[in-house]
Order: sequence, then C-alpha cells, then structure tokens
Amino acid sequence: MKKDTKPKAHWLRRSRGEIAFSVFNHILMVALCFITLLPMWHVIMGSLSVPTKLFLHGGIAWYPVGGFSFDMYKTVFQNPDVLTGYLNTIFYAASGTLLSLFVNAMAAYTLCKHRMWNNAFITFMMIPMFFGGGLIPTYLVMKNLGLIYTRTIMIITGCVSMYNIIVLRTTFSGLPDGLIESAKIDGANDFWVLWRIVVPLCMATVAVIALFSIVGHWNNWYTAYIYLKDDEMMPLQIFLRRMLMEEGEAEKAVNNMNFDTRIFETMQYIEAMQYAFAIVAMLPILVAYPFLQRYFVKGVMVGAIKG
Amino acid sequence: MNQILKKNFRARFIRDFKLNWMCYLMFLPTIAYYIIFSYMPIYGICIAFLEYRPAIPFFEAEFVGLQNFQTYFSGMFFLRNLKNTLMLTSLSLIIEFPIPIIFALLLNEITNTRFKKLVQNITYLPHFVSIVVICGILQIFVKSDGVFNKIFAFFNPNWTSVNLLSRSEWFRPLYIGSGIWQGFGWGSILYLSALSGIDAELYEAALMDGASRWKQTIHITIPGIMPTICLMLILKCGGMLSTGSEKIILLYNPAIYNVADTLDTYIFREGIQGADFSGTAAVGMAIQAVSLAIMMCVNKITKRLSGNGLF
Repeated sequence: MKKDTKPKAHWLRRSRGEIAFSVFNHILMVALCFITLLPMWHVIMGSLSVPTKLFLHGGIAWYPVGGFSFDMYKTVFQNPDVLTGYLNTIFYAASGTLLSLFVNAMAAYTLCKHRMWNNAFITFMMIPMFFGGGLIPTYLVMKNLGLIYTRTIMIITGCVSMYNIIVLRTTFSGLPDGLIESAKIDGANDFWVLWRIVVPLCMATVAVIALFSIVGHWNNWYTAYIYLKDDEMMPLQIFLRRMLMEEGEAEKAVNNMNFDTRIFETMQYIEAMQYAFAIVAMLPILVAYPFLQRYFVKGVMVGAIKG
Repeated sequence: MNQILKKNFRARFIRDFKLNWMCYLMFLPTIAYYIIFSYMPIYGICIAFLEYRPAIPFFEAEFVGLQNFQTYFSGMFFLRNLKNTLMLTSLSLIIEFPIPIIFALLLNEITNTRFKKLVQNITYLPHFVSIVVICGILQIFVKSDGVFNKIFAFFNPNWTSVNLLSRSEWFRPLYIGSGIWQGFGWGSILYLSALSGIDAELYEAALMDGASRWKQTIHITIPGIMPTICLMLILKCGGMLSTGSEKIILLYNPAIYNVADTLDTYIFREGIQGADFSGTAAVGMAIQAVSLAIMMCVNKITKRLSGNGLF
C-alpha cells in the first residue's frame, strides 16, 4: 500500500474545518479500537479473576476481580475434552492444510502454464460458485459416499478453493518462463518443476494461504456439527460450544473440579470457567496474531488486486 | 468444415496430451473434487422432485413433481422464514454494508502511518475469533445477570433484567451488532486496497483547482472505489435469501423462533436434524434459483447505472 497518496503540501494550508475533522477522526478511531478490544479484555480479565468475586462483581471486569487466580485454567486443562479437542483440531488443521496446498498448487500450476484447456477448466470451476446443490444434496452425497461420521470429511471439505488457486496462479505466472524451460531441459517433469522450483520460489504466498487454511480449520465447528457424531473425533470448537451454550455441561465441569464446592456455589463458577475455556480455545490465534497479521493482510491484498 | 475442425481438435488434443500429460494428471484431483462435491450435489437436487426416504435407494424413490414445493410454500413456516430472512439480510445490507466503506474512507484520511497500522491491526482481530467464541460470549453477556443488563440498569434505573436472547425484539439488534463488531475492520481491507490504487496525481490536480478535502472525497475517492462497492453490492444482493445458518444456530432458541428462524436454519433443522430431505432440498433449490435471478438483475442494473458489473 502506498504510504500517503496526498501531497504533503496540503498540511501547510489546512482550514479550521479540516483540523476539526482530523481531531474528530482520530478520536473516533481510538473509540473504535476501544470497542473492539473491550469484550476481549473483559473475557481475559474475567478468566483470571477469582470466580466467586467475578460473580458478585457484575459489569465489566477492567482488572482481575479479587486478584489473579489461575484456578479456572487448571480446571480447563484437567478437562479431558480439551486435550481431545486440541489434538483433533491440530490434526485436522495440519492434514487439511497440507492436502489443500498439494491439490491447489498443482491446479494453479496447470492453469498457469498449460494453455489448451484453461478456459474450460475455469468455467468448470466457476459454475458451482453461482449455482450449487445446497446443504441437503451435499449432505446426501457425503452420506452415500460413506464420509459422514469419519475424520476424512473434516480434511476434505473445502480443500479445493477457487480463490486459493487464483492467488497461487497469479504468483506462479510472475516467475520467468526460462526457469521452468531450463529445468525441463535438464530432465525434470512438471510435477518436480512445481515442487522443486516453483513452490520454493513462491514460499511467501504459499505460507499466507497455509495460514488462512489453518485459521479456517481452527475456527471450523459447523462441518463437525453437521457431519460428525463421535466425541472422540470432535474438534475443539464443538467442545467449546457445549461449554459456552449448554448450561448442564458447564455445571458438570464445575462439579468435577478438584477443590470442594457446595452445590449452591456451582453457579458462581460457571462464568469464569467459560471465559477460561474460550481463552484456551483462542490462545494460539491470540498469540500468533500480532506476529502474523501482516501476512493475513497481504494475502487478502493479493487476492483483491489480482483476483 | 466441421469435420476438419473436429479432426484438428483431436490431433491438437492428442499432441497436447503427449506433451503435457503430467499437467492433466496434476489437475485431476481438482476435477474429481469438483465433480464429487459440487456437481453431484447439483444433480442431487432432483430429490426435490422425489419422495425420498433414507431407507430406500435414490433411484427407486417416487416422482412427485412439485408437491414438495407446494407443501412448503403453503405451509405455516414459509412466510415466517421468508420474513425473517429478508429482515436480517436487508438490515445487514442497510446497516452493515456501508460501515466498512465509511471506516475505510475515514481511515484513509489519517496520515500518520503508524497510528493507521495500529488501528488496522486492532480492528482486524475480531475476524479471526471463531464464531463459537463470539456467540458464546454474547450469550454470557446477555444473561439476566450479565454485563449488558448491568450496563442498561446503570443508565436506566427502571430497567428490568431479562435474558435478552429470550426476547424477540432483541435478536435482530444483537445479530447485526455482533456482525458489525466482527466484520467492520476486515471488511474495509478491500476498500482500502482500492483506495491505495487511486492515482495520486488526481489529488494533486484537484488541489491545484482548489478542491477541498470533502470535494476530493466526493469527486475522486468515491468514484475510485465505486467498482469495488458495486462488486460487493452485487454479491451481497445475491445472498439476499441466505443468512447462513451457522451464526443463527448458535444464537437462537425456540423462544425466539418467530424472529430468528430463517430459510437456512429451517433447512438445517428440518433437513439434517429432522431428516426431511426432499422437502428441504426443494426449499434450498428455490433459494438458489431466486438468488441467481436477483444477482443477475442487480448486475444488470449496476452495469447500466455505473458501468461496473460482475459478468
């Protein structure tokens, strides 16, 4: 992005209205950032509070109410579902992303160098964008293929993405033709040209796409909600949903806590417990975001400008 | 003539295949994926015209014509679902759609690059928070002893605390509000990239002619991002009949079905959970067809008005 599209000279002759607007604009931006961060801050602080104090506190938790307490995190990590969920999610994210990159890179390479069928292929991929089968026929196809209630479905759904193919193709097209020709003269076939030469040179774009795919898998609960049944296959988000939305589930988790609680106190622990669970589920993204966010933005820019 | 072309085509294809067989092989997984997961469901739509039951094979199901459509359109759910869907999507179009555009325009006026970057980084963050977390936290906030009720009670002494999501009148504001909170920052990226593509010389020329910042915005900036706005508008209008069921399923409960149950959630509830495959496939097909028609109309209109179209 260009840093400043307007000439600097206009700073010298700003009218009073423009200065007022500028001040207002800056205040508005700060307010928007505040609104964006406030709920997250509340959740983080709530999860670190002493649960019973948080229950009595009400309102927004600006600071850990009643002092720092990691009890709720201990409880969350003692919950066997969290480990199952984490392992499943990591497995789905890793294998889904690898498969997706493998298939999409090959498709992008074909579309970028091989001319004869390009238009036919692209039309073939465009049609489902405008007219798809919808939820029920898709579900039935999956069912008839025997894919529901299996781990495969979590990896396969959404693995080929037109958007990713176009972004990759744009990047691949930027490489000089001579590079590929010379490799072919040396005896490499297209498959090895792609994986030994093209992909290593376009690592930045590949990494961005992988990043988006990982986040997508991490946050995906809907596929599992529709197609999976067994608890041992469920990703983390499904357990999170139960904990946040089903009262009984949260109560059960609180009652399983190691420190002694009386029945009437159970309610007081639920909120802090839910906050802690949500933070644990978001943790990788919250931690990675500050370091990776510029890649995310870059990814969208590539797609938006070229796609 | 035709014969020659045909022969020519075959010869070309064979030569091309010999030369690039590896490429064909490499594209095969993509084709297979599209055929299985995109084209087979399109073919599968024909169960909308059948009396399909899970127990009997697909091709033995009885053909019933338009009966499935009739049953739904004359049923009690159709009007309610259609009204709720249109309410949510049009509210989203009117309120949620312009906010990223305004935000991008305002952000573009900030000249301090570091401050601008900081604002961007913070406002993009909610996009990466999963919808389960957002809806779950929202559910905790709206409880009768939750944060929202405490805040309302603080400003209004006569406030009676209730779980807001058990009240029909609160569903739409909460749905749209949380959508804005999550999406306004991320939604602005497209417009910002369009803004950065506007030629700086235009602004210089306008400044020479004595145009104020406001005039520059009206005459240069907005026309500059108009193609992007039109594109997003067309896509948004194409989705006029689909709210997506993900978020609503997380937020609604039977007490507020009268405002929260949309076409998509109906399909999910009756189709997947209730196993009424034929009936809901018919609903899905009707949505698809109407959406496509709307998209084409809007595309034609925007093309005529501004010269920008999707296809």
